[in-house]
Amino acid sequence: MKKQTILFSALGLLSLQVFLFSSCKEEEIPEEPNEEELITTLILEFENTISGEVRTFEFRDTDGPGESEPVDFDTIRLDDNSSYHITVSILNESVSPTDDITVEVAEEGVDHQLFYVTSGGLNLFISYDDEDANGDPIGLHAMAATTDASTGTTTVTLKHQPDIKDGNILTGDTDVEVIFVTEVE
Amino acid sequence: MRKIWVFIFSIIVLQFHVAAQQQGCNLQIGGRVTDKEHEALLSYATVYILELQTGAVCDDNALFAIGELCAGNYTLLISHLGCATDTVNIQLEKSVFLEFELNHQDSVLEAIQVHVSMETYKGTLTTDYLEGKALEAIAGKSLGNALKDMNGLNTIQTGNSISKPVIHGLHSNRILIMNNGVRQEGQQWGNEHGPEIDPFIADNITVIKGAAGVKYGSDAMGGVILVNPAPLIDTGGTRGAVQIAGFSNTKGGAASAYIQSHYSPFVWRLQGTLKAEGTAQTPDYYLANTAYHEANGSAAVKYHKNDFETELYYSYFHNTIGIFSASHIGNLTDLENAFVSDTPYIAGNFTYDIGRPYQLINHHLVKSVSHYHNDKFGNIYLTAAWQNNIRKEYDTHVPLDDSIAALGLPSLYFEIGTITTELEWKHHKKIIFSGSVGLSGMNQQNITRYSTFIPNFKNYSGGIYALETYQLNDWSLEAGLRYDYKWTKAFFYDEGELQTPEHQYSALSWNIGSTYFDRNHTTFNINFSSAWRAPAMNELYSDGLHHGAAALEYGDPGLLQERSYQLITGFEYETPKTYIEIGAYNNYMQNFIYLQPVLPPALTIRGAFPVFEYQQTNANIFGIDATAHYHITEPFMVETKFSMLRARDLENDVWVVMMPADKLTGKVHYIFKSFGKIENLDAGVAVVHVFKQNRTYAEADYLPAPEVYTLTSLSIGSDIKCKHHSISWSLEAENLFNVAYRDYLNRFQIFCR
Repeated sequence: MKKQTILFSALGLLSLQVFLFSSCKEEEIPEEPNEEELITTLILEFENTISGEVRTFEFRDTDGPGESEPVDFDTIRLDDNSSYHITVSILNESVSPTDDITVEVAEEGVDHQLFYVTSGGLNLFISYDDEDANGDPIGLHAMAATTDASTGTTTVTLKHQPDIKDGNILTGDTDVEVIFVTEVE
Repeated sequence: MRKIWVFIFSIIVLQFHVAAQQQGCNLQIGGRVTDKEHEALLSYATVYILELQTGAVCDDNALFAIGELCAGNYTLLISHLGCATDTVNIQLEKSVFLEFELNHQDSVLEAIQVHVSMETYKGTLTTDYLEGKALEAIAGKSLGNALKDMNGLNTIQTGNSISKPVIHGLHSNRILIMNNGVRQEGQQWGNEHGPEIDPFIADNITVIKGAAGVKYGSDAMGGVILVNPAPLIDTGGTRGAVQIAGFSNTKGGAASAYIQSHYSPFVWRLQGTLKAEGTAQTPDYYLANTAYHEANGSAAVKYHKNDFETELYYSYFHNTIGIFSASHIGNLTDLENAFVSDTPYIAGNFTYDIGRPYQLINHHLVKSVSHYHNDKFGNIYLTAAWQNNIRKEYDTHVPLDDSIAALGLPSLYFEIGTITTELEWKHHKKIIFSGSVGLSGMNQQNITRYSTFIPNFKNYSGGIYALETYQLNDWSLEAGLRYDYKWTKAFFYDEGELQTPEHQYSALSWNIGSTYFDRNHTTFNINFSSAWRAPAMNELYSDGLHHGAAALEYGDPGLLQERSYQLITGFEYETPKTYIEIGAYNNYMQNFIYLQPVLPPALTIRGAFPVFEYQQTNANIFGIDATAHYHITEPFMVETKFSMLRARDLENDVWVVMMPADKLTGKVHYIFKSFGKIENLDAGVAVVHVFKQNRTYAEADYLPAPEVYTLTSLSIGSDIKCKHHSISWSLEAENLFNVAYRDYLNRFQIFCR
């Protein structure tokens, strides 16, 4: 009987020990979440090839997908019967200093392509004006031409196509997809 | 609809036993001894197994039970005061309940075997199990797929390599998986997170269908899956087995082996599994990046002396899962493209290599269990276990910055460590009560890296319970009560500020049930129970983009604990020719947590994303499972199964989505006579008919539910007995007619049409 009592106590103590021991760990504070590579901002700069006038249209969501709504989401307004030179900037403004992702896209041009898709009825016509190392378009520079006044949308899509770049918008990962309301007036 | 993804084709399973006595050592012989002449119960009769030199004494009701027996031939000696001892030889293949009728006058003994397993006889909840031949037949399959043929069970799948078991419509945080007696703790909240368990470790897999919260604690609302290795028994010499399975669709294979021996007072076992599969295919194309690799191992040693035994167990699970490239969507446009496309827009080739996206998972388990037996007090068990689960998910998206990309970091990293302790006292029968009392504790810590979707957190929980059974003749009554407490603290940054909210939850679980077990082939059980669970971390604090799912999900820190009230009844009738089982259940869920779609979709730089919020409602799940077997002649058997369930969101008056469709199964098989060394040659045809899930609603599902489908499979297998070992083999052709189908619970269904 005495032997049993000792054994029971030992078992009880052991279980208590295991539980207490396991409770005494240091609390874990998470690392500041900064590892994520975020794209927050897309800037389209339209330079009129005749007048030299520059208009910029922006999509800016500084806290990334979710949470608060985008702070800037411009409508593209262009003159009719004009031509423009487009320059694209892609930024991460959630970090300081701002990370210019445009540089990385240009450096890895063989793995990236921007696509411009306009809705039917919109008299805006966009063509590529740059090349990667293989002679394929990247789309960071493009030419735009307008005819008669019209409205519609312009969808700007950045595709990441590592080793699979084939000029197809369906291939690869979508890094950017913004649908701008567009007015030619 | 023509090009639909299918699972095709044969699975070949070959098993090879090195030594005899390989089968499960967890069988039981139970029974009753009566006086044939006077029809009286013979209390205190003794039943002794000659080979094992062990036995049992019948109780007041002339009932006895002997457990932890290996399959094999035994000589039973049955004796009673004033009678000569008699002997009966039995061949034990499964747990049996035997009726012994002792004739006092001339001591002629008869044994009548009643085909009711002890498992059914014991509890008041409905259980189902896989062991022996049925378990061999699923060799190489994942745990979820292994169980989906059980009535009332389904799987949520992400392709062919990730599957999660669903019991009566509930899964993930609402069911428990006990891996060798320890509750499995990983990232079980995710639909694309499969259980990190090697089914090859199991000697039997038991499924409790219903809220078993009293014994197993909170979260066991839908049921419990017990993956049990064979007990370490110091009899039978050195033994081992090798199992090999092959799959034609993925040109894959799995091999598992174990060896067990003893050196008194120690018994040990080593076990290991390797599995590799290549790209899966449909009749028309390969599913890009669906290869799968797995490597597992376990080691156990037991010390046994007199009334004390202690066991140390370690297991390691590792797998790398290629995620079908087209299913890992970047945004809603990708998803819409997938809907309208006839074939996935990423073409695949056959390979065993895995590229991005993929998951890499490691799970370690160390367990120590000690058992002390005392004739006066009963049995005491002390279990302590440590688990560490690391899940790394690699996105298709390689960082643009080369210096970051070069680090090869995962897009998502979860590490969860869990310590569980449990003290259980199974007391001896006092008068007519038997039961157990227990204490349990858990301590858990989660670390998330490279993403803020789930915060870091700590959990402490503890529980105390008592479960008693009252046995009277053919009736047993069971009642249990449990109290659980859970404390949790999350750590995350909100706009640069560290937040550390705490939550506390506590509640009672209870159950009351009864089983009627009639010697004339009938069993009836009824159980009324209540179980609960605390909201999981993803439900409280999910914040933003769900990796790979192109959806924004938001948790609610104010969620209340979820509670289930369940009524379960079962009826069983068995004769040598006929077997009928009908089960019905109704599960009322209070504060049922679900993902509610919220409009409008969120505007992001990657396009519009659907938004979901965790909300609570009251829901009711009602269902019926029915099984019938009939032997037309002794070797020729027909079998049919039917299961249905209806899940209703009572507050919003809509159906609960992601619930399994109704299913009807028919099976015919024939067992041939032994010839030469070939025994148990068994050939069968099975037809599974899955109805269309009409009970959905458009806002919650991306696509209408897939159409009804019927699959036919063929199987054949036998044992080949040699002198010192036996080989058993089986060959199964699944989806014999290459029927193109989509399953509602398969997340791939929208990408492969």
